[in-house]
Amino acid sequence: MNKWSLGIDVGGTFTDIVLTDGAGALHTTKTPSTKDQSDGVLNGIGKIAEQVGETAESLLSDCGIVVHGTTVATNALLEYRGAKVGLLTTDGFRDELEFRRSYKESTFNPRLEAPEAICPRRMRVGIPERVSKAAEVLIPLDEDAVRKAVSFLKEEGVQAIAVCYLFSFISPEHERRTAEIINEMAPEIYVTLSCDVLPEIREYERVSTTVVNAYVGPLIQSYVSHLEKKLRAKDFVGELFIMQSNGGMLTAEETGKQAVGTLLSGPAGGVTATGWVGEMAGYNDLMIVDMGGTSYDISVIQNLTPVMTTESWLARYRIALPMLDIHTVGAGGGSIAWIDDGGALRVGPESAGSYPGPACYGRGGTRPTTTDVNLILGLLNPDFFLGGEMTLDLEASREAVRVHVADPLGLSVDEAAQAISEIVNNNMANASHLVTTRRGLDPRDFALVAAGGAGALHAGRQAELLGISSVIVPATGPVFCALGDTVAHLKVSDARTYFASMEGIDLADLNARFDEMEKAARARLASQNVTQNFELRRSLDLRYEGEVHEVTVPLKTRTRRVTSLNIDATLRAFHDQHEKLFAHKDTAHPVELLTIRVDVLGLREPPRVNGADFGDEDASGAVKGTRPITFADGPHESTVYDGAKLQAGHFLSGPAAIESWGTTIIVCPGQEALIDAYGNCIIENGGHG
Amino acid sequence: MTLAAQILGNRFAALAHEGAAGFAAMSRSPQVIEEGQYACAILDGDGQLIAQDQGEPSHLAAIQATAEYTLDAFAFDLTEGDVILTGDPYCGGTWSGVLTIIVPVFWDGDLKFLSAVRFAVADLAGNVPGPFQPDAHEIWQESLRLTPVKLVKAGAPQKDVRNYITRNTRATALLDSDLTTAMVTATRIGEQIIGLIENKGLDLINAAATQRIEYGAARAKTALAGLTSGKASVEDASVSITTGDQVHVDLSRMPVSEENANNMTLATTRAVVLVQLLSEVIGDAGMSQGILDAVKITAPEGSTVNAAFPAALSCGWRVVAPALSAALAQATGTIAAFNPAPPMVILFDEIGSGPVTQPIALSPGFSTFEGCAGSDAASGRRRIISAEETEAAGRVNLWHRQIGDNGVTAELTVTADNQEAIVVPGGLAPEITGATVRERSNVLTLPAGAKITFTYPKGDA
Repeated sequence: MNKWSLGIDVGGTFTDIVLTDGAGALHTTKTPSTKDQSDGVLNGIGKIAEQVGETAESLLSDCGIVVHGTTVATNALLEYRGAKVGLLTTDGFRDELEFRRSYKESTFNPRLEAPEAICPRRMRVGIPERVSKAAEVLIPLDEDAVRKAVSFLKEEGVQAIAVCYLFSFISPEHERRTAEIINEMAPEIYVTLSCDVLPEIREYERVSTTVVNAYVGPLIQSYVSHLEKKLRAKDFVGELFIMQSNGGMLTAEETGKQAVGTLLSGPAGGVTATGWVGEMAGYNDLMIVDMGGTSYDISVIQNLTPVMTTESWLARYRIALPMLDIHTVGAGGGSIAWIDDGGALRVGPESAGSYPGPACYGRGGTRPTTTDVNLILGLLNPDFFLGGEMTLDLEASREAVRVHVADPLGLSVDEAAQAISEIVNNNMANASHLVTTRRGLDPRDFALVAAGGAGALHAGRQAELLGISSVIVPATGPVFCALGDTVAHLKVSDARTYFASMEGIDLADLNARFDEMEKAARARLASQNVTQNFELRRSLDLRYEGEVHEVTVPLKTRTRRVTSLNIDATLRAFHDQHEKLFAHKDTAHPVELLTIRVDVLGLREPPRVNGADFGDEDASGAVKGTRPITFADGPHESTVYDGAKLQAGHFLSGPAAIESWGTTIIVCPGQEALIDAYGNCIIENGGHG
Repeated sequence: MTLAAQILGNRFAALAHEGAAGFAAMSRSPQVIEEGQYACAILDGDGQLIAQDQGEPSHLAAIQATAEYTLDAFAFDLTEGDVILTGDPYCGGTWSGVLTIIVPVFWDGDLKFLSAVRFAVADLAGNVPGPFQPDAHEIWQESLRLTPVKLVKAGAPQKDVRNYITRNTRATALLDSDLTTAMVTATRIGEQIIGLIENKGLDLINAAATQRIEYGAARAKTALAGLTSGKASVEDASVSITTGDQVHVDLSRMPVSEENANNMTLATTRAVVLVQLLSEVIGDAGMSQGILDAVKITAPEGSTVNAAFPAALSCGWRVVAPALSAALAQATGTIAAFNPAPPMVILFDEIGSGPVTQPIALSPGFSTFEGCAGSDAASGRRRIISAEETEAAGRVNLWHRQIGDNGVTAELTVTADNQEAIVVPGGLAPEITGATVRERSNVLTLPAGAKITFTYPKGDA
């Protein structure tokens, strides 16, 4: 058993590292991110090795596992700089990618610009072939047409080919044969098949996901292999895993084949960490809010299980793989305040980004942002930004607010700043409300977990607006996603479309299909030396016959074999879940099965972190001083604490600010805060809305 | 503009959005899920629209107009716990088969607000299954006409009323569950409004409502300020626009209504005018009374843009709206927000073969614009069918859907037995081979193997 485990998350500005050992020690550090992300990773490993008295080589030679959250795929897609992609589809369906089922992001815009074509029309070739829903070959695969298309795409210099034929999720033979032909003719080309990426019904969703996989696949494959070589060169003996958008992790080799699964690799760590922190703090239902420079991300964990979705869009492309459900609104620290032509004060979605950034950064930004407002209201300390590494220009913030908001509205600068702050806070609260209510949930039933640099500035106010009782600000907030990487389990999610009526379903066939999927998923997990402890989760996508929405229902069985009693119990759960989600159920209406799902988890022992003993409640030793902070009800002289000096058991009352490197926690008037055994700050709001 | 009122105004908009998104997610009807035919709104106690969200634009003016009729119909007869249903185009609606659920919200015994959900149903009686009745001359041939009626009276469900309605559809299960969903959605919004009043006080909530309406008016006024007066005539539509303190759209020269279903109500006409002139503001600020009232419309009763009772209405949106949009675009020097309607066939089980059928609207493509995403503004959140899902459902197979030199073409074959269909007027008629026409009707009998080819001309052509 190796001593060390590493979690590494690469963000836009910093690469975060978390190192754990088997004895309960947890070490963290940050280092600037680099253009080649692997350089930042190696720098970070060197830095943390030094922290524990090792060299990078000695640490890696006794490190069993490195789990890495990367934005390589995400950045490639968002910046549209992926591989040159060709697409082979069933003849007559080469434009599905462009039709997007007629989806428009702006309903009333009659001329909304099309998204950047990651696979332009001339690179999409129809191939004569057709299989029916019953797996009958209606038109045999025209292999000559495949060869001709591959020659053409090769001449065009494509680096990747996606193949998506109708009903390949039922009968994948044509896609497999096509892959063989491509491999014979052009073994250097990255090939991806829709029957592997997303073997599910609905051709647009499948083709979009498969094309995105082809677009980011070569980059991820090359990055991961490049990183692994660098780690091996530093004596790394363990296994490299990559965080996946489903909140689990997969081997580097598997990741290369299913690159589309890494599009939320970074934020996934945050959600995973939230589950771990929440469990330790005694909360099962958690809402995670992560506020960065340009956006505010909201996700939900119910009963310690992250809520998933298959409805994601990224860079205007549909990704139908099961992913963590992360809802994003344009309300970050850099979001710009402005007045529209109806005289209303608005904030975002335009952002000053990190360059020039808020006016107070002194990099040429002149328009007021959320960060400028937080500085004016006293939530931020101009001399303690990033622990004092950067000084903020308060006057520049005041000037920006005066020119663009206060003067036009006839307000003082302080009044304008408070107005902007309330607009931002209410925009966030409205978005959080939508995230829960659209799932039939009530935000008041959740604890709020604040992550990201600015999350803890607004969390107390969010709790007030949403009627949430408890806020958790994790001690590891500045390296939260990397922490999630260290606690993630191995996970393979697989799904197969399976049409059947639930009445008289063929149990032998269903069991055989589940067995087959489990076997394949276990093979993909591969790294049995990391864990021998596996967990199987199975679920069914069910819907009332004639209905469009399906509901994913966990299969109610304790044994491997699915029996008719299990089916009855699952159907009862479906009706109940349907009622909860859709306000009605109809137990007499026939129910049909659309998709069967399998999650195989390779469970890892979570890091045992030693909790500190609770000491005295008195936190006065950590007091740095006081300063006026303006809250929703006006200014209050507030106590300022040095976060580094607060210890387990310390208790404090709002109004207060807790300043640490990389984050400031604001405790609103009437709220109380406690530092728990793991250094997390738990703010109690008392449920007041 | 006060900040507190602005924040609460945003909350009204967020509630309408939550309601619309929630209803769309909970609905069972393909008209709602695939065609986007739903809306959710909050109005004040006088029926003034405060906030609204919708899946497509035909509903823009209809909820407010329906609420006005409802308030008239139940003057002094609304109590806490009532739920009103209206499904009558001549009571503020658009066309048959679109229902509006209204929940009155009381505070201290007085009616203060209304929450409403509006949605299209798969079928509500009529000559042939589905919402379109091309052969109808009168409203009674199109569907059951539901003048305002209480579905729930002071908290007591009126089972007889509900049974009466759900027995007058060929798709009972869908209508029954969507009625429940709409009532739950509107009631939840009503509860949230009560929560806001409890928290913030009625005065502030009223001020927020007023301010949101004034804000809509200000945004609309700014947007319309750049407009110049003009006239235009295109085939089947003539308009005259006069600018000034209030923009006036004069539709006096629109054709007189004929004995067919190609007619629109005033609420439908207002929706077309607002989309054409104010789509950007509606998209950004959301709907309110301030936007509804921004344009004065003159439309003579008995014309195709203000049909006289009992004229049939089911095809007006597809036939008249694109022509009106084109004329308005020409008069204002802008691009038309509406395309000619897409070709469409409604497929259903043979009429008379059983009590239940689920009609499906077949229109597997749309007209594309070079370099643009999706279709025109009239299509809203409509999404085109999946070939695989359609084949799996077992009634038709999609063989081809692709961009060609002349636009998009798509070809379907019928795979189930005992299918019948009608071709909906508007747009290019699809080519149908292998079909026969039923005696004394426009209903096509489509044996398995019958082929339907749709053509969608390029949007820019």
